[in-house]
Amino acid sequence: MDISLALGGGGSKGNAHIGVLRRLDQHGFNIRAIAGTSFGALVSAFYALGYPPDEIEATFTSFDQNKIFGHAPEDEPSFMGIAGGAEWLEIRLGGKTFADLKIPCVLTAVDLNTGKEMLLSEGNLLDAVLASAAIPGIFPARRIGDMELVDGGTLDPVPVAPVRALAPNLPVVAVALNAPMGEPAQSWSLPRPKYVPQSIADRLSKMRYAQAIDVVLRSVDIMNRAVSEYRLEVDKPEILIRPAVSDVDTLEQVSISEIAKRGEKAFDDVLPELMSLFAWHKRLARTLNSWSQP
Amino acid sequence: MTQKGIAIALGGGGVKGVSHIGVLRALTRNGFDIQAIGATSMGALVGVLFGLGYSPNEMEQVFHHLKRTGYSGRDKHSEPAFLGLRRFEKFVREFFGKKTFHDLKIPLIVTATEIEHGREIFIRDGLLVEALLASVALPGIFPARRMMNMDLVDGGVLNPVPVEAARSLVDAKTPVAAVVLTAPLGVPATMERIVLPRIIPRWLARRIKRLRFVRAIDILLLSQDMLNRAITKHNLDSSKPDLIIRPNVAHLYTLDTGYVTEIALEGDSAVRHVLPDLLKLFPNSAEEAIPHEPRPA
Repeated sequence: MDISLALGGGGSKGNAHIGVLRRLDQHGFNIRAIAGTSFGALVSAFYALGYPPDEIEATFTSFDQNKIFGHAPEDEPSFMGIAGGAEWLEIRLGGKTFADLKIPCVLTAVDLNTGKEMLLSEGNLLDAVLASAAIPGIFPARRIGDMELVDGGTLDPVPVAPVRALAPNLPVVAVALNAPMGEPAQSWSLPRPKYVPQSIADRLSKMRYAQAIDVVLRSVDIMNRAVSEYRLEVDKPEILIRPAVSDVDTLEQVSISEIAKRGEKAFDDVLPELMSLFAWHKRLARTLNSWSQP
Repeated sequence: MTQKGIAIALGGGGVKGVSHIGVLRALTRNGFDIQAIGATSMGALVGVLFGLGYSPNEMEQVFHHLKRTGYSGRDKHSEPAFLGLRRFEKFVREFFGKKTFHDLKIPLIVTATEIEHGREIFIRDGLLVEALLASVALPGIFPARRMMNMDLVDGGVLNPVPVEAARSLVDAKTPVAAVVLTAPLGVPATMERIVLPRIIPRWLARRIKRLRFVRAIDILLLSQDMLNRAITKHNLDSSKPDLIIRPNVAHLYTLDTGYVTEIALEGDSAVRHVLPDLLKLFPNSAEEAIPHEPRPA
């Protein structure tokens, strides 16, 4: 049963992707192409390199989440930086290119200079992952050639169209992590540096400036969701999986296995719908379709 | 001559919204009858002024006045915000006083965004002042407005051009034109630069703007601008206005003050640009406007 997979962005929520991948493997689905953005790009890169889902989970769990943030001297400006995470990834992905991947894979980012969604599918893999995960302002933008790249989720939170272009006649399974419209908007708390005591952090968050920033972040969250809904409406993935992760903060430290389980749960909910795509008449329709458009 | 009735959606965009004045002026001059308005943010201010019967010249005077006094300023009682809207609020309170939607000569819906659940809210009755202050509340920059037990901010957050609002006010035969002020996707972004108070000397401002922290904010604002353009595009794709009017104002910064008369003229020229398409929406009246000349044999 061949499918293609689009993994959306959402920081820590993205560990749910691991659970979805595990279930797809267990049920014998064959992922023929994969596209990812932001955290979804990270998971896509590991999977396309040939890591089984269990090993992705073990690898991510081995990372000390306290060490993710920080600035490296040559970094572009950003609030938090991701120096620790980048250093850790360097060990695992350093020197690898898209040519090392076992399945076709595209990672998305947005070029700040042109305002266009860029599909990264060749060259250095680590650079592509870090560009795709560069939450604007929070993590440093990444320069590749003339481009100044930030998080692909800015314009397209779930890369359905890019993966469909990669494997035109396969059903697309999309994993979306942001909450649907109508649920309360989220502000995301930036992690508190260790040297700031909780009591002071609480006071700071009551300041008027902090509250104004909160309003900005909540409205960005709403805009992001609106874009997400529009894109899903237009791109119409055959199967949409929405793990219940709206309580998880984008930059929060999480139990990876617990979030991965939520991905499994969401997958189980759509499994009957997914299986129905592989009824003989649906397969035949796809085959005929692929003949008619060479 | 049959009236060319049209509904119009006036989008948000801070000072770019002054171009709506020119759009309305050019439409009226060309014999179009504006039967309903859906408006948000600065579009809402122009829409309300037009709905109350002010002439384009008078509307320009309002913006000249606001340019002199400025919009911002914080006061102690308002919701938290970086700039606040004290001067703008003082002005609209004095200017519109107790006027309500009933005083308007044209049906008008002002839109705002309810921030808790992310819903677009249509405001169509009550005090005009309250609707305006909610609709222009650029999140974080200006204070959110508490109304009908909701926290409301700028309607442009979810829907930069309220086409559905305008359409809901007219019958299905009446065409809806959308006045869009945001740049299309794919065009290089205007850096929505951080506006520093003029009191800061230029050399110091230059230094501040080079700070890494400030450049990070810049990137944040830049990507928010892109997000906004993406939302505009998707919205227009799904709401399908009969005509899109794009005044050439994308280069202006939202919080600039700008040259009122010149920006308004961009609205006039944008209408001139689409006039042939606009007339095509009215096949009958177009024939009347351009009488058939008997062809020479």
